[in-house]
Amino acid sequence: MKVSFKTYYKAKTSFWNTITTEWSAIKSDKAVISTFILMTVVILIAYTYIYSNQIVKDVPVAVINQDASKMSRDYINMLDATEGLKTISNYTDVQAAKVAYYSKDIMGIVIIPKNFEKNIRSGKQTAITTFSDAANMIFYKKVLGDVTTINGYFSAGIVIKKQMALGKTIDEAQQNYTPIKAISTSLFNSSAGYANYLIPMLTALLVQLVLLMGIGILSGSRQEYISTHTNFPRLLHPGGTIPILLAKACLYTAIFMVVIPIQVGIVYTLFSIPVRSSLLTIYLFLVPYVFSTVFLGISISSFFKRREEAIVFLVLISVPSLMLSGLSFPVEGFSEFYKGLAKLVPSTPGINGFVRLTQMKASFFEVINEWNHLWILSLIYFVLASISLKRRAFKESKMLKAQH
Amino acid sequence: MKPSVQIAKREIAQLFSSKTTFIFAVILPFVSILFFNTLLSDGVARDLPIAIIDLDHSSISRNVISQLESSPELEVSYFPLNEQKGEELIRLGKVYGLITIPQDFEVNLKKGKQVNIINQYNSDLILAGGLEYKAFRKVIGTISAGINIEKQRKQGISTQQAIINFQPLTTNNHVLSNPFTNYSYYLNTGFLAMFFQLFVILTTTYCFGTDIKYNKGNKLLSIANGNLWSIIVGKVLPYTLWFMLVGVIMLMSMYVWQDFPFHGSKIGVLVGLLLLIIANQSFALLIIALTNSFREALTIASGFAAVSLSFSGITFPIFGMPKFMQWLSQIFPFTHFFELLLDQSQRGYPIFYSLKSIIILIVLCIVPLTLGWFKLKTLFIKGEFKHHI
Repeated sequence: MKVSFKTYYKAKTSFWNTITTEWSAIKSDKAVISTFILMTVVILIAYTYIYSNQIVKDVPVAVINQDASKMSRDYINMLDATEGLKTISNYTDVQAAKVAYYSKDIMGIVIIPKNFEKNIRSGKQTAITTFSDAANMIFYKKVLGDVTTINGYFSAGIVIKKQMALGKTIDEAQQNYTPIKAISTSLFNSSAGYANYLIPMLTALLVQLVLLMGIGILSGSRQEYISTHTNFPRLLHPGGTIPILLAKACLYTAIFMVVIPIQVGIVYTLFSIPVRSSLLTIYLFLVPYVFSTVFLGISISSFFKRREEAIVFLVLISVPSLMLSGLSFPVEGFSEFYKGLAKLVPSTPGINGFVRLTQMKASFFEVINEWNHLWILSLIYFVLASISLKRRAFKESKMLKAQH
Repeated sequence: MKPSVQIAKREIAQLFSSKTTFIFAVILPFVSILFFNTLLSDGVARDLPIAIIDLDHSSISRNVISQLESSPELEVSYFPLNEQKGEELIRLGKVYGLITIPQDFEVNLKKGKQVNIINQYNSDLILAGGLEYKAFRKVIGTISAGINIEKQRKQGISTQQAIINFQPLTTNNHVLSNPFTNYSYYLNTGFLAMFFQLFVILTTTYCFGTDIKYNKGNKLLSIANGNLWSIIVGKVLPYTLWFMLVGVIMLMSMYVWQDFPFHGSKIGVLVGLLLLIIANQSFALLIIALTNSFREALTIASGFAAVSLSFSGITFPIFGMPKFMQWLSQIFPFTHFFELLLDQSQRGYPIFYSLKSIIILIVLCIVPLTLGWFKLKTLFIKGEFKHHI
């Protein structure tokens, strides 16, 4: 009884000592503070600003009208009225348009053939020719997508008019033309806006990036000054890593409980990105995310001999972590190896959960798999972090003893 | 030239004695080349899971399901009982879309009434959601057209004429540059080149930063007899050459060892690559000159290189950005190199149209170093950064 009380008391002291030590280390380290502010606020605002127009509008395409009839001009007007395209029809031939394409004045070419109106009126099939540049997928999709849509409407318009000329009502004609109507409803991000898509992902990714950087920088300087074991004396005792690791994780969780509302409050409000969950749910989800990331950070921080190395390394893993999360490119396109690798990175469930909570209106129980996943990662990295901290503390104390 | 050779020798010796520099300059560039090339090796997303609610349970509804299933983009993985369950699947992230076939689908269709099929898709995931939407429209459009044509045939119209009657206007699409619309061609070009320049700028910042952090600025200056130019040449040139080799391997990993299309000028791309390396090294020197500590220099350099991905227009086209961001995008060497690389590889433009990119890259090689020159000189005379940490 006495022993267990003593252990508890020591652990409690160590817990609070760690919180004070770590907090004062963060406070007094200009680098950590500036990384925190730079990454969480400045980078997020800059990125959001890049994507703030949300969708690509008015992609310029050349229209070469070889027909010069009323119907062809109607067609061009319809194309121009789409949100995605802007038609430029002052190119007389393909050669002129090609030069404009080379100078990037236009992103695609649409050719209306000769006898366009005549053929349609006499019931012959006519083809619109398009050239679209798939070196940039965004332009390619806009050009092809909008031309296909307008062609569909145009065809339907002609057929339905013909049917009506035969004495059918417009409803009948429509039913006849499309017996099955495909109705598509886009959920959550109805305008397919890029900021709405990317910024929540980035917010969640930044949690991991900032934490790993901060921990890396702090631990790097402790290695440079050989002060890991003097900062956290309980490390040398059996079981001593537990309160220390928990204290660190709790401290960083507390920090992010302040940072996240600021991010969401400023950036999301400024650029009107929706938030569809309560702060409490976000907090609840955040706990294992921060815990697993902190432990991962401590596990890998032994590799950094200098504080600077942590910065470099962690910038490098940010883009791959985003890719591995499977939200930018669907995870179905990855090999088993990368699917497995993705599961080991806290940001994979972290980003997925955060995006689904804030954007897809998921309830907490709908992200419980991610939540559990994060707790499992926390447990794994907790063990690794204890081993890594312990090894470092013993190595340092040995080194100092040898010096004396 | 003697002192710069001496510095270059010292630099190479340092590269092999410092584990960190070696990892950043030699090992990680190849890891990144391997990573991106293997991650997106398929390049096309297939078999995206969807859920279907079949309220009709008729032979036609089953036919619709099997046609959706046979579309390469889609895979029907769930049959939820009602809409609540289906929407839950979307929120759970298990499916990208939910398709509902309403009751009396077959009966109404046979009566000649228009019937609806409803597709709710997750447009928060732009790429996957968009693919699902397109595949759905295509499948249903084909089925619907089939019924229309069948009806006409029953009235004695030939299949060919029925098709023309249904679709008087068709499209004849020519896909330029990337004929298979392979995402790997598109994304890998960007990611690989972006990471490549990240390593260039980081290594340069690192090799200058370590010297100045540990107060070796004076020592270097004395080897170089006070000539800043020989220090820069001696320290930078070995890496310029090394990264040229890495860059060529990176390009070969796409255009030689894989089937990425290349229709342009090889020399143009190589000149661009060399200029990209030098421009990044020039920016690294400017950053070293302007910052107060090694850590600050590295943070800014890595930040600069990392955001250049978004500014290059690969994720969102430059002309769609706010005006200020459009201007800002022009100072990143990567923006111009990426443009040049796409123009000269996939697009196969005449080299004349890439001259603009090359000229801007040359300017971006000269300007940063010129701006930072005097500050850099003062820094070397002082010997170390203002702050140690």
